[in-house]
Amino acid sequence: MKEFDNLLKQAIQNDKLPFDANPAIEIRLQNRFALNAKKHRLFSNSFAGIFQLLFSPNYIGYKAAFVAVVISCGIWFHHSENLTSVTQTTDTVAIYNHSVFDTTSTQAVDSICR
Amino acid sequence: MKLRKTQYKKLSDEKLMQLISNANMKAFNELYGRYKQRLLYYFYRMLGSSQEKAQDFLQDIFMKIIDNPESFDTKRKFSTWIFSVAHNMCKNEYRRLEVRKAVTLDEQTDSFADIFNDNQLDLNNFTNQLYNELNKLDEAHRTAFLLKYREGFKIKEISKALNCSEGTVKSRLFYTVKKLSQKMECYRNTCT
Repeated sequence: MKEFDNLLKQAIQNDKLPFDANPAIEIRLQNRFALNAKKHRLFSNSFAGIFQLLFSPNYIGYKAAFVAVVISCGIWFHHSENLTSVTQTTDTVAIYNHSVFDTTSTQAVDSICR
Repeated sequence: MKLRKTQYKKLSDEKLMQLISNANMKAFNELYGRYKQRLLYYFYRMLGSSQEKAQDFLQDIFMKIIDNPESFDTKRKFSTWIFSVAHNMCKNEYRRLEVRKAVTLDEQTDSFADIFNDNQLDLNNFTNQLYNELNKLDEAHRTAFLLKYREGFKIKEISKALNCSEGTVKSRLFYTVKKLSQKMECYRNTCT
C-alpha cells in the first residue's frame, strides 16, 4: 500500500498539462487591475448620472440661484447693448455726403450746404 | 512602497496580497505567475479535463482577487484560501451542471486495462487511468486528493481549505486511495 501511495504521488507530481495559461488572460487581468486601481468604473449609460442630477430636486436652491443669475446677466447685457447703440445727434460745420456726379445732365441737388 | 522586480519574488503570498490591496500591479503579476499553473492544473483536473473551462475559471478566480482583495484575511495562509475559493467555484459549477458525465469514462476504462496485460508500468498510462478513476469520485474526494498529492498540503491545511474537520479529510483521503487501489489493482500488483 505504501508503494502504491508513492506511485500515486509520483504520477500526480510528474503530470504536466498539455497547454499553458492563455496569455490573453494575463493582459485582461492587468487591464482590469489598472482600471480598478484608478477607481474608474464603467457604466452602461454615462449620461444618466448627469441628467439625474440636473432634474432631481436635490440642490434646488443652488439651481434656482444659478438660473436667476443667468437670466439677470442676460437682461443686463441686453440692456447695455441698447444703451451703446443709441444714435446721438450732434451739430457740425463740415459737409457730409459730398458727392461728385459723373453725368452730363443737370442734377437737382436738394441741399442747403455747398 | 517601491520595490524591484527581484524583490517581489522574495515576498510571501500574504505580503503580496497586502500590496495588491494597495493597487500594486507588480505584486499582482508576481502572484499570478506563482499560481497560474497550479490553479490551471487544479481546474483542469477538477472540471473534467476541459481546457476552455480551466482557462475561464483561472481568469475568474483572479478577477475575484482584483475586484475584492479585502476578502482575503491576511492572517490566513494564502494558498489554502485560494484553493478554498477554487474549490467553491468547482462546487458551484457541479451544481450548475448537476449531472457529471461519467459514462464516457467507463468506456475508456475497459480498453485501457488491456494495455496493461503485460504488467509493464507506464507512468503516463497510469496517470491517465488514475484520472479516469478519480473523475468517477465526487468532487470533495477529488479535491482532497489533489490538494494532498499535487499541492502537498497537510491535513490541517486541507481541512481549512475545504472547511471541514481533519477527520473528514483523513477519511476522504483513505477512501479515495482505497478506491483507486481497488480499481487499479493491476498496477498495485506491479508495485509489490
